[in-house]
This record gives sequence, C-alpha cells and structure tokens, in this order.
Amino acid sequence: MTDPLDIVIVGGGTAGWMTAAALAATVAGRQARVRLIESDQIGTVGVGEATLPQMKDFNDFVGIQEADMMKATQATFKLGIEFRDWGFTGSSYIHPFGEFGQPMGGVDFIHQWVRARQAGEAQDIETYSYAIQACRQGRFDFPVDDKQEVNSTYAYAYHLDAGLYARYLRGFAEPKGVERIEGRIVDVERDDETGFVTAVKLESGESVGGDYFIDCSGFNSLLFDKTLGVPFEDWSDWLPCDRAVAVPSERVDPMTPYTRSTALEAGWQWRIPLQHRTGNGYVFCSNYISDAEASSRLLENLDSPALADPRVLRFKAGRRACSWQGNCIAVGLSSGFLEPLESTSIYLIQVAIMALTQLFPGRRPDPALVAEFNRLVDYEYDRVRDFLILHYHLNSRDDSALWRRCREMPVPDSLREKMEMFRRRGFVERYRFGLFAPPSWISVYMGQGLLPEGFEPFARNASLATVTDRMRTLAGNIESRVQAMPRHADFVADYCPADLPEAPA
Amino acid sequence: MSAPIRKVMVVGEGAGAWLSALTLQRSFGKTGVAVELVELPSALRPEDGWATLPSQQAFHNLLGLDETKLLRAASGVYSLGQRFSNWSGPQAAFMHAYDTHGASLNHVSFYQHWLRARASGLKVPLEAFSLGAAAAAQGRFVVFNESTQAFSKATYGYNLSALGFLKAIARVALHLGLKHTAGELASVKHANGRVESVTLRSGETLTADLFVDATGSAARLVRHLEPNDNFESWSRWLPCDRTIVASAPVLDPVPAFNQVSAFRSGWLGIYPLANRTLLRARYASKHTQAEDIVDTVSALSGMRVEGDVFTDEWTTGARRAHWVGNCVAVGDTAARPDPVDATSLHLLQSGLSWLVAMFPVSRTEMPEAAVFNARMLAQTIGVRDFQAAHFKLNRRFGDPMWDDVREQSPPPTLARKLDLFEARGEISMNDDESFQEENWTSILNGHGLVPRQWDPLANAVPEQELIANFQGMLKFIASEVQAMPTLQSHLEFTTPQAESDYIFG
Ligand SMILES: Cc1cc2nc3c(=O)[nH]c(=O)nc-3n(C[C@H](O)[C@H](O)[C@H](O)COP(=O)(O)OP(=O)(O)OC[C@H]3O[C@@H](n4cnc5c(N)ncnc54)[C@H](O)[C@@H]3O)c2cc1C
Repeated sequence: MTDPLDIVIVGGGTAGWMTAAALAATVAGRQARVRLIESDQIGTVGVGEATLPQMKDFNDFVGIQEADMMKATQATFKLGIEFRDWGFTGSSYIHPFGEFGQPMGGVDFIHQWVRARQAGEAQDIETYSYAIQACRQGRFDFPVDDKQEVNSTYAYAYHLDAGLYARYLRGFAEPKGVERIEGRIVDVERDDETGFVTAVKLESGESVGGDYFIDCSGFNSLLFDKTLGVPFEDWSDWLPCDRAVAVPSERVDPMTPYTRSTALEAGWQWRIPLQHRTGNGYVFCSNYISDAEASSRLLENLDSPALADPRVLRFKAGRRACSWQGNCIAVGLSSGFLEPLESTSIYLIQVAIMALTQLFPGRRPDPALVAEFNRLVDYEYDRVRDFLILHYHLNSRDDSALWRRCREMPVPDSLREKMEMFRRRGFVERYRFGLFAPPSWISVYMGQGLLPEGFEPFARNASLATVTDRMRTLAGNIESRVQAMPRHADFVADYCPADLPEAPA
Repeated sequence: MSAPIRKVMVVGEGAGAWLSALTLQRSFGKTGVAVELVELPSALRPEDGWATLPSQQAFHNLLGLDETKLLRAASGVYSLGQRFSNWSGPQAAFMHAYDTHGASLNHVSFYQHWLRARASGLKVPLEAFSLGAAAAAQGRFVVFNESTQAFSKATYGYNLSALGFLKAIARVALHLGLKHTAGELASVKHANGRVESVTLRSGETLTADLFVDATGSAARLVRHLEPNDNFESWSRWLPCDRTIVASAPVLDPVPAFNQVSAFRSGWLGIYPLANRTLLRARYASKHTQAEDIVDTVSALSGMRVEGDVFTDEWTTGARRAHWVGNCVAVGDTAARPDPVDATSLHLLQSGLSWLVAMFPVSRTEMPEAAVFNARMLAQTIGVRDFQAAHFKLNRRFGDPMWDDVREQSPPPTLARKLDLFEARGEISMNDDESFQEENWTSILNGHGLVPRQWDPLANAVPEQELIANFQGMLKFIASEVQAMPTLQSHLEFTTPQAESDYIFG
C-alpha cells in the first residue's frame, strides 16, 4: 500500500468537524493522516441550527447514535417550518417534511385536491398532511416503515446547537485518529509552479504541510478567498439580506416540533426550539434597517427572556465559482452562503462531504474528479437558491420597501417557468437528485398565495365522488393518528433528555 | 381552465401512430376528449420487428395491457440483455444485461472493489457478478426469491414482431372506442404556428385541437411549424445510415439475450423471436454497398436467411423541439436513434408518458410544450450518448468507418461521462437519464475503457475479506441461476403460441 495521504482541515466549526468525522469513519488511520487546525481565539458560527432530514443519513454514514447525539447537542425534533406573515401579514403555513395526501386515480394528490376544491369539496391542503397536523398539535413520533400507513408519509430533522454538535463530532473523530492542532493560521505557502497549497503557517511559527487542504474556515475563507482568490458569485440582487442579529432566549413551552420563521419589515425572524434554550435571530437587509434597530426589534419580539446580548453577523448571498481548485476543497461557509431560511447550510456541508468521499482523490487531484465535484456542488446551490428566491418573490405585503422590491424583481427564468406551470396546472418537477421535493414547492406556492387554476386532465379518469370520499377518509385517518402521538416535549424528555445547563452565575 | 381540449388527432403510421392512439384513447377517452387516428399507408413488412428496453414493461402497465397475451400476439420473447462482440477488439465480448453488478461493501460500490481486485490479479470478468448476465448467458429467465431480490435488479425487455404487436394494439384501441380513418395525406393547413386541419386524398378535411405527428422522418405536420434546420444530425457519432432487415429460422432453445456484433462497416443484431429470428444490420452507405452487406449478413450470423431482405434509409438524429404549437412529434418523427441498444420504442413511449402527464389544460395556449421539450431533450441526449459510446470506444483499427468515428470528439455530455469514468470508474449522472449507472458501467467497462484509479476508500476492506466476499457472490449466483427455469420453458408455460383475440389485463 502507498503512503497515507496527508489531509489538513482548516477550521473547526460545524463544517470542519463534520468533515473530520466523515474522514475518521472512512480513511483516517491507514489511508490518510487527518489533522484539523482551529483557533480558540476565533469563534465559530453557531446560533441554534435547524437542519434537514438528510442529516440522519450523514449521522448513519458516520456511525453516530441518534439519541446520544441529540442528548449531547440539546437537540429537538423538526417536522417542518412554520412561515408566518410571509404571503401577507397574518398568514401562516407550514412547509412539512412529508407528503400531501397520496396519489389518487393515477395522478399526484395535488391534482385531485385542486379538482375537489373547485367543486367545493376539499378542505385546506394542510388537512391532508400528516406532518403538518403533527406540527399544529405539537406532537412527535418516529415514522413507521410500512408504506401503506399514513404515518409513514413523513421524515424528520433536528434542531440542535451546532457548536455542541461540532464538539460532539470532535469527541468521535479524535479517538479515531484525527489530530487537532490549536492555533491561528497567519500565512499560507504555495508551490510556485502548480499553485497548490503546500503548508499553512501558524502564529506559533509551526508549519503544517499536506497533500490536501480542506477549507472550513467559515466566512474567513482563508484558502478560497484570501489565498486562491476564487471569485465569489454574488446573488444579493435576488437575496438582498446581508446581516443577521442572533440571540438565545429561555426555553419556550410548548416546545414546537418545527422551526418558526416570521417575516418582518426588513427581513425575517427565526425561532428554533432547543432543549435548554431557544435560538432566535433576525435576518435583515442593511439597506432598510440599522443593526441597532434590528437588535431592538428582535428583542421586542422574543417569546421568552433573552439569555445574552444580541450578536450581529454579516454575510452576502452567493457562492464561490468553484469549491475544489487544485488541492483545496471548500466545505461550509468558505464555499458560499445562503441564508438559513430553509435550513440548508449544514445540508450543503453534507453534500460537499459526501461528494468528496465518493470522489476521494489519490495523491494528485484528477481533473475529472474535480470537475464532477464542482458540478455536484453547484447544482445543489443553484436549486436551493431558486427555492429561497421564491419565498421572497411570492408575497403580497405592502408594508415595506423590501417586500415591494422583492415582489417586483425579475427572477431567474427557471423559477418563472416553474411558477407559471404550477399556477396553470399544479405541475411540480420531481428531481432524482437533491433538493427540493414536490411537497416543499407545493407548500410554499400555496402558502404564499399561488393556487393552481387547473390540474392534470388525466385526473378526470377517477370519479369526483370516489376522490372526495378517499380524501375524507384520509383526513379522518390523519386526525385520529395524530391525536394518539405523544407531545413533542414528552417524547424528547423520554428519548434523548439532555443535561440541564448550569444556572447563570 | 375555460377551454379544454375537445379533440386530439394522431396522424401517421406504424408504432408511433398506434401506440399514440391507444395511449391517448386509454388516458383521455373517458374524460370527454375525442381521439382520432388518421392512419397513413403503413411501411411495415412481416419481417420487421423491435427489440425494447425494460422501460416497455412500465408502459404496458400504464396501458393496462397483459404482457403474456401481448407477447403471444407478437411472437415475442423476453430478452435479459444484449451481448456485444467484435466492437472492441476480436476477443472482447461482453453482456450488457439489464441488471446491477455485485453488492456494495463499506459504502463503496461493487465496481470499485472489482477494479481493485482486478489490479491485484483477479481474472473474473465484471459480468460474472451480475445475476442477470449469468442468467442471460445460460438461457434462463430470472424468477426472484427473497435473497436474489435483495442482490439484483435483473429485468427484461422484449423482442416483438412488428405486425403482430400492432395488430394487437389496434384491436385494443378500437375496442376502447378509438375513431380510425385510413387514408393518404393530401395537405396540411396551418396558421399562426398551429396546425388547423389535415386534408386527405379522399377530399375529407379533419380538424382537432391537438395533433400528434407520427408520420416518420418526413415529419409532415410539425415541419410546417418550424424552421427547416430543426433536425440535428448525429451521423458524426452514429455514422450508420442504412438498415437491412431479414429473417432466419427460429433458434431452439431460444437465447435469453440479443447478439450485437460489429463488422467492417457496421453492426449486425440477432434478435430471437418465438417463431423466427429477426436479423438487422446497420451500415454506413459512405463505406460500403448494400449488396455486399446482404451477403455478409448470412455469413456473419451463421444463419440461413429466409424470405425477403429489405434495405431502408435511416439517418440518426433528432428534432430540436418535439412539441411545437399544438403539434407533438413522437417516436421516429421526433428522434431517430441507432437501433443498437434496443431503444426502438423507448423514446416513443417516454414521449407518450410525458404527453399524458403534460396533456394541455387549454386548447388555446400550450406552454406545457416547454416542459415536454426539456424532458424529451434530456431523454434523447441520454440515448444518443449511450449509443455514441459504443461507437466512440471501438477498437476496430483499420476499418475506415470505425477509425473515423473513433476520432470524432464526443458530445460534451458524453465527454463528461467518459472523462469521469476513465479517471475513476464513476458515472456522472443527470436528473433525467434513459440509462442508469449500472448500464453505463456495463458498456464502458465492456468496451475496455479502463479507469486509471479506483476509489481509495475501497482499500479499507482487507484483501482476504474481499476475496471471500467475491467467492461468496459467485457461488450464490451460480446456484441461484441453476435453480431458475430456462427461458424456453418459461415461454412455453406463460405464452403458448395460440391465437387470442384480446390482450386486456
Ligand atoms: C445567521 C446564521 C444562521 C444560521 N442558521 C443555520 C440553520 O438554521 N441551519 C443550518 O444548517 N445552518 C445555519 N447556519 C449556518 C451554520 O451555522 C454554518 O453553516 C455552520 O456552522 C458551518 O460553519 P463553518 O464551519 O463553515 O464556519 P465557522 O463555524 O465559522 O467555523 C470556522 C472555523 O474556522 C476557524 N478559523 C477561521 N479562520 C482561522 C484562522 N485564521 N486560523 C485558524 N482557524 C481559523 C475557526 O476557528 C472556526 O473553527 C447559519 C448561519 C448564520 C450566519
């Protein structure tokens, strides 16, 4: 066997330690020497994170026990996101991690629903989503495997403290051979000829060399921005929010099995329930509100007393022109940023890590592997972008300049065509790879006021009476099953109770 | 929507015409849409036949057709794959079975482990690890049990006699109430980018809201709606432009695969049927004469040619847009792939499936065309690239046609796949593909494209464990295949060759 590869992970936030854990589970040891550099002087981003159901796949891949991880990260379950005041002030809808209804008469449920609704025979679309009903009642249980059962039609994700998650992964990765190096990187050495990074230099004077450098340095983007100068594609014309102010507050009861996102004049506010506290933040556009105003607005809006002073973070929507160049690979915020509206950051970290393990290089990076990696990562970023733009664009709020601007802005053609096909006939594209599945699109379209005017003509093959009958049965079935689920807080207390935080001194 | 489609008219002949008519009648006949077929004189002869991919099964299900009755009517047989010989050097032959290879190990695909094992001296070919390929080679029909189900995705396409198949389809369509008019097309009236009516030689003029063009290469409807240069030729990559069709005596016992052999200026396919054998040769007229080929067909097949031998012109390529205005081109009218991969009916049926899904909600405007065209473009490119790979990777040095096509640079979508495979043995997949990873792996590997490197993660499995694992798989496959029925006995059991009037399920 050849000498092990030398891999250096630059940064120890969520991205750094997720990468370290994945490498620990696969190559660390005989095939690769993996070292991670982080600096205690530089904070990580960690505000109380909401995630997507795919995170379970990552944890399974790495070999992490769910309940154990949830205890260690003060985690709770997430079945979706409630969007308040997005379509118009006073509105509320839930984007669920689950299906609406079930196919009927050879077409997707949405078509029969539109048809029944036009005949005055359908209830609100939320009635037919198991996940949404569970959210509305604050309940949680694991989905069952039997696909015939209505309580198999959803998935779940987590709310967790990303800082604790990184620490937890460190506890997993270090015993498996990942070496942690404490120190601040002050310089980067490159090969004159190839431009490859050869070593990073620490403040202490120590130099850490390697075959590959994984840039997990967060917004600093130490290698991709500061060293390689990989251009940043700026998407802020479509996604104008460029700041967030975040603050933890006391735990709120009842503990919701969903994230809440409330639209405000200059952006939106998140509320993420954890076991020991609640994560809150206001994502805003600095053209429309000052940091101080945003902070006080956030504090006014809290549902429970704040536990710290608000902290302001700055960012810009977009991504690097590529995420793998030479012997450097960017994972996490160093590769780009899309605001947390649909909890996609950790997911995008996961995408990059899985692509990396699938295309794991030899000593020299093969250009075909690099091209494929970049294609896979770009694809996901682009799709998430369109979905986020939809939330901003599709609104009928008249109370502030931001919302008017977003409603009137030109959106990418791909998105415009999608909206038109949904309006016309309830059509939603089903992707084989990546985000987002049809129920996600359906919930946002309808929740923000875009209702289909038509449906697939094929739907008419089933009689309307049969369809409405089945819809009634389904709704009844969902209602009674959801009633029987445990309360979310009880389920968490039973399954993965975390240690109580120390009382503030 | 205020103005639904009242009438749809299919104009054309052969498979395109009848399958479109049946699909539309079946899907919309009961929803208040009148469906009419204007059948033009058929060019089909008793010798004609088709080899289909496994996707045809789903299509039959959609139409509610009984498979065994249909096979009986078409003198059809199942085919588990295609064996390619003489494409990449005189010794190299391989089976492209409709199945996966082996089982993944440690999150790393089987193929990567096989590459590694081969580098350390393994002599067993890839296809030996495919249950479907083993069954095909031994003339078996795959009947699953619990353990084979978990291991394999083996499935089958069909070989069908054209006239018997279409007679059966016609019977069902007429039984369902399809309106059928036979005649010759005199003229097409069109205005504002739409077809308004067709006039027959008899003087009859027929109108509809939506037209399906199944007139073949002449594209006699849709060509009026678009610029002349809409047909894109693929002859750079798929240079054969003539087809020879002939019959030979039935093979006994019937092989479970098709044989596709390359020769000096083209290829010859041997397709078993229940009562005869279909021979089809393709060649490039630039490089040879029809007469020479007719002689070589019998020499190459080693079979006695019976009855008439026909030569047809068939240039490969596709229309850029399949659906223009209110006219949808399907099958051969829209795209003319090389028949090398049993794709004859594949693009026709995927076009029809999409037409059903995107059937316009309004007769006045049809923006559905954009979605349809995007999907069909992706499907069509997927087929083209797969076929082009056979030609590009040939190693028939010294044969002018093969030398020429080897030198052509592949379409960019194919180049990407070849590059990544050559680098790493992975397949770069899109959302919409006609062939899956296992199909690509089978042919790229089969044609001798050798990856430079395998996934280093495969090295984590100790060699002894890998050897034991491989031996276990081979043993498993051998004993399972032994227990399967022969294709011959399966056919005698399920489709005794007797006349039957209906093919309803
Ligand atoms: C407002 C906001 C809300 C968010 N909400 C969510 C959410 O709900 N869901 C979700 O999935 N994601 C969310 N995210 C994103 C998520 O927090 C991050 O994606 C995640 O924490 C990953 O960050 P990171 O590891 O890339 O960077 P960071 O956490 O910033 O880590 C950077 C690391 O690099 C190190 N470093 C940097 N420079 C140097 C140097 N010179 N020398 C040595 N070390 C260095 C630091 O020490 C640190 O360890 C949110 C982000 C923001 C800004």
